[in-house]
Amino acid sequence: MKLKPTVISLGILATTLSIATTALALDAAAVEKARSDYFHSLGKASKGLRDELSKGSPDAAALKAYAANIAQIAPNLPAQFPAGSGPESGVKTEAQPNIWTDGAGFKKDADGLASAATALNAAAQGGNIDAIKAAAGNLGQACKTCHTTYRKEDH
Amino acid sequence: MAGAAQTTRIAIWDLPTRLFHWLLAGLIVFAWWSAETDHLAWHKMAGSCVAGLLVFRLWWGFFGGSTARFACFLRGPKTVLAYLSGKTDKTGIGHNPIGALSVVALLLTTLVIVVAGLFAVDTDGLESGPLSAWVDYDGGRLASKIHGYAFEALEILIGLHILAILFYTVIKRRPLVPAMIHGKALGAGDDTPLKPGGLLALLIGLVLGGATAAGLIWLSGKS
Repeated sequence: MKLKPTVISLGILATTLSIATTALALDAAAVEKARSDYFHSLGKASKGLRDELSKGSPDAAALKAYAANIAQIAPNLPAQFPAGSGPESGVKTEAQPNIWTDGAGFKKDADGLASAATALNAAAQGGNIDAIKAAAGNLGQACKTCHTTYRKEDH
Repeated sequence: MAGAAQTTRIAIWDLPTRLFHWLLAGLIVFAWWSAETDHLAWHKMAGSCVAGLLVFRLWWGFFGGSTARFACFLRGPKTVLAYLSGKTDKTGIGHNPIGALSVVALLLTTLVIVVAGLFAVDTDGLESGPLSAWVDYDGGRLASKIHGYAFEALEILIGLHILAILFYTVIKRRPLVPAMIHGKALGAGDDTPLKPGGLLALLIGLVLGGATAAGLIWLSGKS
């Protein structure tokens, strides 16, 4: 029975070491760069869609292309957040630690984005401008919901 | 006012200048609050009104009442230094040489915030300023960052502004806030009195400012 604390300590040590090794194996700076590029492409496509929608007579083909692009990009969001790529890695990131401590909540928001993007794409292929505008609004809401909880705002 | 025979209450700020000041102060607070609480539609409306107020104030700075005119309150570095070192205390009615610099800094910073805000694009590319369609995503993100940093500069300037008012009220015993409310302050009898702006100049300024605000609110609603 006297050995037990030692066994536990060893267990904790082993876990810590394995986490540390994983963190070392992960190039957090490269992940952050790829993540930043990822959101850049998503933001760019969203802005393109929004600008097209704000025109007097939006071009249906352009809307379809933007929406398809967004629907393609959106599901890849969770892959941008491998464990160990948070602020604890020392890399300057807007990602908040609760992305990993509250994985279920984060996944729910990420799924919300993916389904909003799918719905937007369906609306765009349908061609009804009002439906596309409503779907774009829902997409913006999905972005905002997640950013409020999991992104550290820097202007 | 016993024993102060040579000091009388005289008009120093005209009504348009006072209304501009308090409307701007209120709108800045409202714009800050609406941005913090994610009420972007209200935020854009407030920003559009601030833009209109600025257009009016710039116009009024050339064609308004005497103490509101830039040519009347902006002084050269010599006068500023002389005032700072206490050599001249007598600078006539209206802004003192340091206050004048503060006014210019506040107006310019607010102008930068408003112009950057027109083009700002949020990180998701969806929430955006009324003229953001004129710039690409990166340009809009840059505008958004300028918008944020310039607001931090404005917060510092507002802090200095309030500290200066406290300094004059408590240490120098010259309450500045009431003067900005009713427009009058104690002045020496030989001060050049306030020369109010003309009615036509006021009407033109109101039309210019009103059209700016209305145009931007319309654009914000469209996008």
